Amino acid sequence: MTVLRDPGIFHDEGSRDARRHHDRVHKQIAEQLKSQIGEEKLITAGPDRRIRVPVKGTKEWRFIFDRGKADGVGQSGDGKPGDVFDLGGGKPGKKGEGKASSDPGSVEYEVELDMDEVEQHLFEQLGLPRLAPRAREQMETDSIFWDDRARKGPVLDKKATMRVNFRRNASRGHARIGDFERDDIRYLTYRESRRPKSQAVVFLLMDVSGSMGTFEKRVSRLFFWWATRFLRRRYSTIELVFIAHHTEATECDEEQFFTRVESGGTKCSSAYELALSIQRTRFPLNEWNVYIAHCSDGDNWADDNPRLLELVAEAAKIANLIGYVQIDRAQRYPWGGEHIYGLLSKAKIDGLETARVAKDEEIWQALKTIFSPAPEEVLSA
Amino acid sequence: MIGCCAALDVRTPDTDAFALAVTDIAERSTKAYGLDDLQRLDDECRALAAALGLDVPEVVFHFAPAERIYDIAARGLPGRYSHWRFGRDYEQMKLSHDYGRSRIYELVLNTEPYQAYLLEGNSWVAQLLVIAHVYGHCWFFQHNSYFANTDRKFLHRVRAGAERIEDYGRRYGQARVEDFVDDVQALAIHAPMDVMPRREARPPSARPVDTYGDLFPKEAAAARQAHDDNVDAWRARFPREPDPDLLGFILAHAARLEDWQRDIVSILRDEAAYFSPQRRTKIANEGFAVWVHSQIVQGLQLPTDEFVEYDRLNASVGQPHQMSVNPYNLGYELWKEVERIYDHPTDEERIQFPGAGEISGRARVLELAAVCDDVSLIAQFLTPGVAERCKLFAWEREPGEQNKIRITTREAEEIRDKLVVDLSRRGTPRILVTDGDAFRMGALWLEHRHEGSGLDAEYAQGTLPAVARLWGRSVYLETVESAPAVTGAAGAAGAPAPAAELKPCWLVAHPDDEMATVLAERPDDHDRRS
Repeated sequence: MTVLRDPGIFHDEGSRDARRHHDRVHKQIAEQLKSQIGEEKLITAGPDRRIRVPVKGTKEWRFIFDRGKADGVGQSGDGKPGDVFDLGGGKPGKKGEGKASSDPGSVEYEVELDMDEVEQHLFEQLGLPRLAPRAREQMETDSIFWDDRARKGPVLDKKATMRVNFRRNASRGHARIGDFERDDIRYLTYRESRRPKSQAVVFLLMDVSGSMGTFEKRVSRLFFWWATRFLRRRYSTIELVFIAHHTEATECDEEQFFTRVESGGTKCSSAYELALSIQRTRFPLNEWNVYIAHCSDGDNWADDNPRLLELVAEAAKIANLIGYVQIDRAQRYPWGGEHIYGLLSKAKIDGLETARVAKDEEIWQALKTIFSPAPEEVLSA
Repeated sequence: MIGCCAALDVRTPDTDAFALAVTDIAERSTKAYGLDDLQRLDDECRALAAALGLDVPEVVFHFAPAERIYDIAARGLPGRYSHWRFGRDYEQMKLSHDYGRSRIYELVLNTEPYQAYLLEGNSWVAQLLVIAHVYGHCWFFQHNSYFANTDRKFLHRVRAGAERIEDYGRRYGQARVEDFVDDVQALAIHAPMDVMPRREARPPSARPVDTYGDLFPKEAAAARQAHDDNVDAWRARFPREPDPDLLGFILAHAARLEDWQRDIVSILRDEAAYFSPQRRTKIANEGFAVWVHSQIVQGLQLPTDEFVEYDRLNASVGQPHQMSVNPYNLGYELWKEVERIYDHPTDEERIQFPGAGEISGRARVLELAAVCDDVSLIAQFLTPGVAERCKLFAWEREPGEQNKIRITTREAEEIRDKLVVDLSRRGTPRILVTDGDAFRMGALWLEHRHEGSGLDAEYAQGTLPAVARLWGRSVYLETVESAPAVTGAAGAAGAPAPAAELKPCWLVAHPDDEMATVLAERPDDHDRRS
């Protein structure tokens, strides 16, 4: 009857839904990665290696026939009854197979990611909480917004112009659009958004005493490894201070921090003491946001506990956040008692977050507890 | 190529023609054409179709860009609700198109007026084939009895439904609504294939009148009692008859659905019901459209080079699939066979097909196209000749070999019986609601009729939680022995089920059911009505 040209209205529904699908896959990858965060293969992958992540849960569930027992009717000139066809292993999911062989929703992905993408997926939800602008003189220009209107500018804003025109006409008693004057004309113009730079220093305190077992050591290193990866990736202006402690605390460089083996008793207070003194000398509070993250098995020399509490309370006053992660697979201290977790939890210090890790899968939870910004901070970070 | 949109909604292999589209043929004519050329072509095709004796209904052709067409193809209908699954399909098809691997040629909607889409950038020859083909589809939609009840103003409802679903997303959270839609989609494929409204279940017939009952009072009283018991038992059943319309049953009886959820169930159920006659007549419809387009194109008297291209395109459309049947190919051969039988019958066929040799083949094709679905067309006309021309064979998977199939037969009759059984259930296992108040606890008891094919355990166990979420109570699924429902097809597919396959009986406990844990301990307990 009639042939019409499509009106050419912009159709975006397809790509809008495609984005929803991407989000979904993205979310599933992130979920998957979180459970694998304790696996060394993620860390040992190195920058070039690619990691394969199966994305589960994208099956379209419905009642179908047994896939193992397929039969059907096909079309081909070759073969007589009894002949066996090899369909080739290369295309197991070929569409249009027999009735039951088809797997209507087996869209199972195995996504290959490099380290960069892994981190992107993982670190999306992390951030430094309560990060405040501590300005020195620098301001960073972040982005340009085209949302300002002016009487002069590069791009004519018709809508705004009409609005002004309408208002002017209305004020003269006849509300309509027309009789444009030069004064009515508005232009779209941009403004630069400037943001004061936030500077932060993060003290990483690791217990390396003899009481730390293989598991505890491994997990605390994993925790700090991910933490440093995340912090460096997200914040360009960040300083990390590595402190290892047993009865004494020493500041060390990153490599030593992750590799060195020590033993001996535990005096956690020493680490906080060192951190505080470093802060006083090198990181003045008016310029720096201070964070402290501490990993330990929770076994502290009992006489040191009051001093520790005192120091933590003092540190909490100056720090934006203190994160304490206790790694004890056996959960040796079920109810309060002597260990640091119980001690700190009871103390109810403001600005202190605590987490406990008993198995690899809980590392993510610990990271999230400590590095979880308020929702609006995620956006601005 | 071509596919009425039904193709996409149900991703069963035999209706998947859309995603296949056609591998782009290398040599395409580069003839430039404009809108008025297309209009002229349309008029010409229309005149030719009329000359063939087809009263073609009005068709609006939209000459549209790829984004538009692939979007409609992905969601099955324009303006359908937003869902990640449509986005995924859209992207896959669009990519395949952008890389030149395959392209959709045409898309036709069974609406009032009929609407078809012509893809911008397709060659002139492809467009003329599509226009001719669409006239075949539209005649079929217009006249075939399975489409008699189709709401041809359906697009309005689709759009309104999409708006409501979007609104629910805003109000109740997009993720929540989308998850719910996922659950409903899992069952949408069980939309009933019947066009006829189902008769309301009736109680067993009235109490028998026994004229000589006075002579045997005891026996008569016992008979009356037995009958009354029978009626009571019938009344106590819920549903009274096993119900294949899973979504319909949930819609009417699930106690814990909120209003918006119930609305979504009804929207998706309506859409599935709209597609179901298209699924049911896929082969007949496509075959008929090929039959029509080949005659119209002959009438167009194309120049040689264009005809060569047409021929090549036509061949790629009708290319046999390996493990399933190509509806274009089989359908066309079936209609040609009908024409042949009525025009030039053998002596045997004169007896077998009344009227053969008297009625013209063409007239008979039109008569049958108005009443046949795939099953009835194949049951009558899949002759040895058709089987041979289409190179049909029946196959089975080699036990234990994922990628090997064995040809079981090339006998037309066996293939026919197999196809009839397969098509009558359209790749969907038969699942019925037999008890909506199992254990007197409101649990849902589903029955899977085996009919020669077992359920896929992984998928059954993956789907049941969705059913439980919809029903709001525990759900049970039991496989029972049953012969295929299609008469005259008790061949290979009617073989009794192995005992091991009948065993599975799955339970998905709903978290709200306190008793569920108790029942979980004895899922084999079939004595649920006690």
